[in-house]
Amino acid sequence: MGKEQITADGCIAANPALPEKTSETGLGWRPKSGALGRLGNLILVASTYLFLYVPLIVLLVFSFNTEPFPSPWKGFTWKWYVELFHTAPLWDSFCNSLIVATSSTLISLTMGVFLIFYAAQGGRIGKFLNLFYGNVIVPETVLAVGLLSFFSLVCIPLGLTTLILAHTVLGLGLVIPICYARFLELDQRMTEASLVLGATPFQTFFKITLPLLRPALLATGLLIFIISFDDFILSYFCAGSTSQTLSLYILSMLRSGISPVVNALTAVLLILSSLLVGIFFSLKTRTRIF
Amino acid sequence: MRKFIIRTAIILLWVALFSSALYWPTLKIIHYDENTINVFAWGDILEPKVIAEFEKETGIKVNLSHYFSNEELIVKLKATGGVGYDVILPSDYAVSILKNANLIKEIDKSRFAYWDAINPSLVNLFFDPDNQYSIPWEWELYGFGVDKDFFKNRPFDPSWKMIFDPQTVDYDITMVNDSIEAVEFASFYLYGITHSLSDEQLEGVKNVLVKQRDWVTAYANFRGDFYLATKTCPLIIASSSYIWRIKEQFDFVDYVVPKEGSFVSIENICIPKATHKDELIYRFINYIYRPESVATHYESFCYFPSTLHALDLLDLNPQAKKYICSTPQEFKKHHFLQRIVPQEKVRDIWVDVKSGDF
Amino acid sequence: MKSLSKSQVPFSFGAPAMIWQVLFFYLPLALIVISSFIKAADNGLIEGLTLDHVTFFLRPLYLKVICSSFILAISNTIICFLIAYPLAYFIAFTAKRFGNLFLILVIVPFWTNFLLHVYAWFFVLDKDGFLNILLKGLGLVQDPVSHLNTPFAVIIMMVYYYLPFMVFPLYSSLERMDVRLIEASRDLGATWLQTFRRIILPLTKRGLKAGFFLVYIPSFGEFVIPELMGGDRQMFVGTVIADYILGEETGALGAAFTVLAMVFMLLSAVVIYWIIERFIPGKSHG
Repeated sequence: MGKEQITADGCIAANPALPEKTSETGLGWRPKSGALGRLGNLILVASTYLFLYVPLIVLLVFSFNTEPFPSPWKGFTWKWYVELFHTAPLWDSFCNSLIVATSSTLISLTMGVFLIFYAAQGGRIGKFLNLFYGNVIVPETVLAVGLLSFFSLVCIPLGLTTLILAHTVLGLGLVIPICYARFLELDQRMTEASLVLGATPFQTFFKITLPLLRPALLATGLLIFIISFDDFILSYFCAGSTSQTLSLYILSMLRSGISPVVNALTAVLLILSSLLVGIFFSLKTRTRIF
Repeated sequence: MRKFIIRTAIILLWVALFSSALYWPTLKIIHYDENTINVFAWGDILEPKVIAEFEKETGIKVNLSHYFSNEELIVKLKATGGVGYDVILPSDYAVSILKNANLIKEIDKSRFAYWDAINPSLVNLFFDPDNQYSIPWEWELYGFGVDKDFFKNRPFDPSWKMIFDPQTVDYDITMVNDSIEAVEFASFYLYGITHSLSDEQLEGVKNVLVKQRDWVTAYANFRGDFYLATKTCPLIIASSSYIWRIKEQFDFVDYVVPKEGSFVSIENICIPKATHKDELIYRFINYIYRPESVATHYESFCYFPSTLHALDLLDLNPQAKKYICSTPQEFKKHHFLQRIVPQEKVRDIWVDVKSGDF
Repeated sequence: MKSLSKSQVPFSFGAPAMIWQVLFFYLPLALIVISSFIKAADNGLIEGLTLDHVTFFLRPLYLKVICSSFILAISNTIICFLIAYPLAYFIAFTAKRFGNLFLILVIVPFWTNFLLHVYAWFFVLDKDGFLNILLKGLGLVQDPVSHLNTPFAVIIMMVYYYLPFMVFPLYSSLERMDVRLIEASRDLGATWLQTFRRIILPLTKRGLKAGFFLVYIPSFGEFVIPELMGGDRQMFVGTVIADYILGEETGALGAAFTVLAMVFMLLSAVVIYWIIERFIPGKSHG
């Protein structure tokens, strides 16, 4: 049995046979490759980032254009932003998307944590767990269609609750594989020590296990939030009269009339998302997701 | 054994919890939210500004959600039994389908203030004799949006040949993206007005559409005007409102109707049977039919309104005015999109058309 | 009795997730499968079981549709892989201290709504769009043409959307890899290609598989991007499903085709998975 190292986040270091690898490899530790290879890689990477950002920047620039697309640049104006803030249906759908995303994230995280709690107390869910991997295999369209049939069969009216339900299904399919896998990697001796020292299983779970799982839970939560907020197919099939989400709203705008208000919306969302992501990463949580 | 019973009890408890959470909105819809109506309409048919003004004036909240095809409307209405929707805007043939499925209720004409203003050409038609279930809101005529510059020095004969005949077409076009419309247009081009198609005739329709794909840049129901405005396609086929919208903006755009005749589509206001908010609904309907509202809608969307009392408020192009004021005789020359082929066959053809090379 | 019920308390915690999954994931799927075999009369009453719905689709036409989706999905996956790998490698090794920043830069566009991305690409690919301005400026093109509604546009958008799904698992795998193995291999005289093939690739197999699943499977059911960017000139699996399901008389047919397409997709996924296992040596443990 090799020397086992417990790293800072409570996990057993991979490759215990090799001498300890520090998480900060500091200066100099990178694979050596020829200068040409390095340059090629850099060019590739730079063009990839350009590819990712150029459309958004172009969109941003044109959000200040006085004339709607497809007119070329005519002049600078803020009017589309003003109109954006006065378009009530847009903010309604934005709120709906927010509500659905937050609710489904919280519900799926909670249920996931509960399931892990059950497993921590020795519940045997090994085989049952494979059920949760089904989400990866089934395309969203199929799930949406199934849910629509299900809802009409049991006569549940379509609305925010059904949408939250649908997104939670998506979320569960992510929470369980990611967080449970992380849970299994945790060093059992921490929990054993805690129990030996007299804590109840509840206390052990909430004071030891949960904080150790926090990075994974946070990362998964953010992932579910984005996927739910962005989601379009489930809303397309399962949205009711009161649950117009942002995606559907934008789709109807794209389909019926193109207005620079959409550009302005992109700019606003871009700023918001940069802020959010910046906050997340500044928390310095190193997360191992897969 | 005991463990099994306890576990089953726990499971049932949770299922009950989930079910109550899911069925709660039904209660909410029926008992609360008294001052809200849910309007389910096409994406570009109701002007948000007018709705905002309605909300401000009456204090009634309006939830507007959209669908993109009559099929979607029908399926969703059937799925929920109509619960949750208070006002819908189906097209002509959809009204008769909904009527037969018992999903819409009769209109109380005494509560609608503008019957006299409605163009008589639009009432008492095949899908709703005597207009018991629907009030026409707007209508559109399918036609060609053309780039006048492109056709300046070319022979120009407005006819269905301009989109279907390989010998006439040597330019790119945008075609409608609805299988029923496409099949009916092709069938009309080949056989004129029919009430059903034999298998042979269907084969002919399919071949015409498959051949047409070669010069179709895009199948676009809603964004055809974009292709015309950017001069990507010198000819698009779309319903009149899309073409009229950009006609205002770009003077090289013109609207022509094929000489053999064209198809018309009427969007109607209907009330689902399951709703009980009639008071609020009629206030909403009466509000949007006001002349000022009709004028605003025309300015935003350019579809032909069903009412004739807003004409003075608008600065109308004479061609538009002529259409809006169509007499019943003139109107009878247009054709309706009827169900002449079973749905499976239509969809089948559509898949065939779109499965050529990339 | 009391201790028995108390000992079931953890179960009452664990139950909701499992119930939820069965009730709202597997039950709807089962409904689809069942409804594709049911024959219903016009008034909705069930008459019996039938294979008609399924056999309706066993024709070359629909197999062609499934093939189109397959080609779309596989080319998307491969292109994403080719672009994501260098990127993940760069973030994991070259940008050591700023790795987080570069990761953020990959995610941030992803956080704005997907449909807005589609719209953004209109600006770039259109006749008077950014790409043509660039090409004209460089003198490469005299008569600009719209790049929209081409397979090129569809693939660009697909890659644009699915790239993060490939980058993250690859990055995760690469990051965990012990860099000194590469160094050792190079010191022992292996070329870059050999090192890649024998050391790096096998060690990142887990990330590869995760990325593959996250990109291939959703791509197969994709229909919105081809519609918006490709002018809807081509039918894909998702388009057919949406078209048939949202029609009132064709609901059961839609369900049947869903089942058929799913079976095909799963089979193809299994085959590709097996290929990855077979041709990339090494165990895939995390």
